Formats: sequence, structure tokens, C-alpha cells
Amino acid sequence: MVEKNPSIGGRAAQLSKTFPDLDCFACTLTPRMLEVDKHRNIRLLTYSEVKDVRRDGKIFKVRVLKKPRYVDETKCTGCGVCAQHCPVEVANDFDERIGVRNAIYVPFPNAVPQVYVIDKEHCLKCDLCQNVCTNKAVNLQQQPETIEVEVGAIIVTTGYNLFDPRRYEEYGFGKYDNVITGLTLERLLTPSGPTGGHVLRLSDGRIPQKVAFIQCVGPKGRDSSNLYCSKVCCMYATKMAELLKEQVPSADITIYYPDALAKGDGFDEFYERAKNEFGVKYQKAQVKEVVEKPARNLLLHLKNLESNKNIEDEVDMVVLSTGLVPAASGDFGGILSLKTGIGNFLEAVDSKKDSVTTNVEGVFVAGVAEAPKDIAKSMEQAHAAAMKASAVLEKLEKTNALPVKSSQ
Amino acid sequence: MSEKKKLAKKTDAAIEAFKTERLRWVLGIAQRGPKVDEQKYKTVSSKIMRDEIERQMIVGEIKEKGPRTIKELSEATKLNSRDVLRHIIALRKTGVISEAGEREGGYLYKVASS
Repeated sequence: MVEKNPSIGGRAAQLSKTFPDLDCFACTLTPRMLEVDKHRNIRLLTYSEVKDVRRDGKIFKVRVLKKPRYVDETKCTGCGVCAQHCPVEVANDFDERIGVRNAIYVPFPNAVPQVYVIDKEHCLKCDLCQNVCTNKAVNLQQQPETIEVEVGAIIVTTGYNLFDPRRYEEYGFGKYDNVITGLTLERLLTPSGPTGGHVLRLSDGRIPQKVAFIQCVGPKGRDSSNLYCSKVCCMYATKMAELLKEQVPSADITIYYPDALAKGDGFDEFYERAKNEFGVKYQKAQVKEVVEKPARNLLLHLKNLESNKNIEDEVDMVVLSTGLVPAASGDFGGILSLKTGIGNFLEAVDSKKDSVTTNVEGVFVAGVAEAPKDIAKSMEQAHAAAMKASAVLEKLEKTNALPVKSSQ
Repeated sequence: MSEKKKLAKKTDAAIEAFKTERLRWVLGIAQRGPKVDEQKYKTVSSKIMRDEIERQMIVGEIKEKGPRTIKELSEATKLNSRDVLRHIIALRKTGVISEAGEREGGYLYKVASS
């Protein structure tokens, strides 16, 4: 398994609870992450990137670049003393840059593997971590390493990035502190997050009493050639509205959506519960512009799509429900000669009957790399891809072509 | 509060800041000769110095007056509330302060050991 970040877990590790059952997701994910790390048949290469894939007869030769952690993986015990002493403080990307980390860090407390990494760009080379590490694990001389692995099948699970909400200039993201993305709200809601699970305004720390969610902040509303729905935003907004209501029962929350709400198993009930039990308001409307008022409140200019009237709404906080864009499927499309479709997601041979097999024999796809979908569907697809890949491996094993297994 | 008292508070915060391992180690690098680009060292070390002094002002205010909200801390220290929040998040992470309920639409923060 090749992971470009210092820890496995992906985007899902950033989430607090999942819809529609509001399960604690860390409770599902953490044991699985540890299982992967300890599994005797899985070789885990973190902080590594696939540079090149060549087909050699029935198998693939994959060239992986292992970036230097500057911490010896065989010596680091993950005790964290180095980070306690590190004087450098940097905004933590894992916390959507609200939280902080040190120049020597693990991205989040239950990261797997529990091996620290030095961010050389910010490191002052002050040697304090070297001095305090009793295992002598810090090694600033570490070099990038190229590893070649031979595999019989490949599963591409490169996931997604958030659509850049700066493309909707009229919503003021990046300009106004109190216009945040859904993922930022998620980090604020997470008990292990930077504020201990307390939602507050980034401008002044005030507890928001009136919150507006703006839906469909994605390629769908901006880019006519990329007409796809991200599928998860309606439900994640509903979920966060419920969690926020639990925390601040007096909060007045409206979800402004320009388009139909996405549907799935149990989603209707979840939506009805948010509306009827939690009092979350839903309004079909197109938000035209967000303007900051002197007290850092935000004035929304919008068009009610039911009455066709232009209206205004003043709120404390705006949450942009940003859509999903493929993280690296485009690159992998190139490296592996895979077909890409709408929005540059990887195309499976048949999105209805077989959404995991690609146009290249022995290469499979799962998760959002193939198309936007929720965690449950990503996991189902991953299981299907693993089964398909193991069938390929079994065939290769019978012909003695390959004894090892791997996936991306 | 008189100007003199404000200055005294700032001086106290600076003294506390210079007692911290973080600041002393970083300033010590200058004497040993930084191994990184001088400009980078200057930028990072002055940010650390400013942060540590501001954090000591925040901690000092809470120690003196008991649990405080971000708004109250910002008014008392004259620091921008966005920066106070950033310091609160960092101080919370290192276990120096913790939450202590709510007041007037904001969360209260106390010194963790008190």
C-alpha cells in the first residue's frame, strides 16, 4: 500500500461522525488502520509516491519514491517528546490550518504509522529534537529512496480534494474569516480537533447563533463542461447542522440549496429528522453574494427559487458545502493509461455493472477516484476491487508469475 | 488601566516569555550560528518571540482574573481576536489552558492546572 501522506486514513480520518447514523468514524477507522500496519501480507509505504508503472509480461513494475521523513522508522517509537520540545509551530493542514503542529510531527494523534516526520521547509535545524530523542531516531541526513515493487494487480484509490471555493469569489472565502468550508466546520466539530469540538467564529471566537450553509459550491455551478454532482454535500451539511444544533440548541440554521437534494439509503429519514426534530431550515435558493458587515456578520443576497423573489439574510457564519474534485486520478490516468471521464474521475468499464474494473487489465479503481460517493459506498467498492484483484493474483500464483501482492 | 500599569504587564509577560525553553533555545541558535538561511532564522525567531510574549500576556490575564473569553482577552491585551484564538488553540494543544464553560456568547478558558 502506497500512501503519499505521512499517515494512512485519508480524508475519512478528518471526519468526526458519519451520516446517516452519526457513528463515530474514528472508532471504525482506527482499528482498520492498525490492522493494515500490522498485517503480514501488507507492506506499507507511507510518505511515498508512485512515480512510474511499467508492465512486464503479466506483472507490473512500480517505481515508488519514498520521501525522507528525517526520522528513522525502525527507531521512532512515536513517543512524541520531540514534538513537545520543537520550537517551530506551523498551521496543520490536517486541521484545515486552524490547528497547529510542530516542524516535527504526526498529522493527528492516532496516525498510522506512529512515526514522526520533519517538515524540512519549516525546520530551523536547531537540533533540539535530536538532543531529546532517547532512541536517536532523528536523522537529518536521510535521502529520498526509490523502491521498485513487482505486483500482479493495482488498485487506484487516490481519493479527492475539495473544490477550491475561491473560484466563487462572490462568497468571499479567503477574504472573510467567518466564511468557512464544510471540512473546516467538521474539524471544529471533532472532539479531538483544534478547539476540542467547540464551534466558534474564527474572527472573534464567538459561538455562532445564526448559520447559513451554501450548497453546490463545486464544479457543477461553475464549470459547464464538468456537470457532475458531488453526492455527499447535502448529507454532510445536514449532518453538521444536526451536530451543531446538539452543541448550540438555540442556533438558527438554514441550508440554502439551489438544486435537488441527493438521495440514498436512509437519507430521507435523516433529512426529515434534521428538519422536524432539530429544526434545521431548508430553503431552495441561489445565493448571489456574501458581504461582510462591520461586526464581522455576513449578509447574504439571495434569490428564493420558489417565490423568485430576491431576499437578504444576515448570519454569524457561512459554511460553504464544497464539492469534490479528483486528487490525482488525472496523474494516474497518465501513468497507467487509464481512461478518465467527466470531471477527470477515472472511468470504470461499466459504471452500473462493474464500477471497479478499468480499461487496463489488472488495474482496478475504488472510492472517489472513480466518482464522488460516500464512505459506505467507497468501502463497498474497495471490497469489490480487492476481490477482483485477488482473483487476478490467484491466477498469477497458479502460473508462478508472482508471489507478492500490493495495491495503491 | 493606566499606561504605566499596561507597560508593567507587558514587561512581566516578556520576562515570563524569556524564561520559556522554547524562546531561550531559539535565541540560543543565534549564538551557536544558525544552520539555516539567516533571513529564515530571523523571520521564524521573531515570530516565536512575539507569539511567546503574547501568550504570556494571555496566560497572565487569565491567572490574574480567572477564566476569560476570547473577546475579553482581546480587549484586555489589545491583541486582535483572531490572534488570541490562534494562541488559545496552541495553548490548549500544549495543555496550558483548557475550556471552562461559556459566558456571553463565548467559551471561557482557564489555566489548566488551576
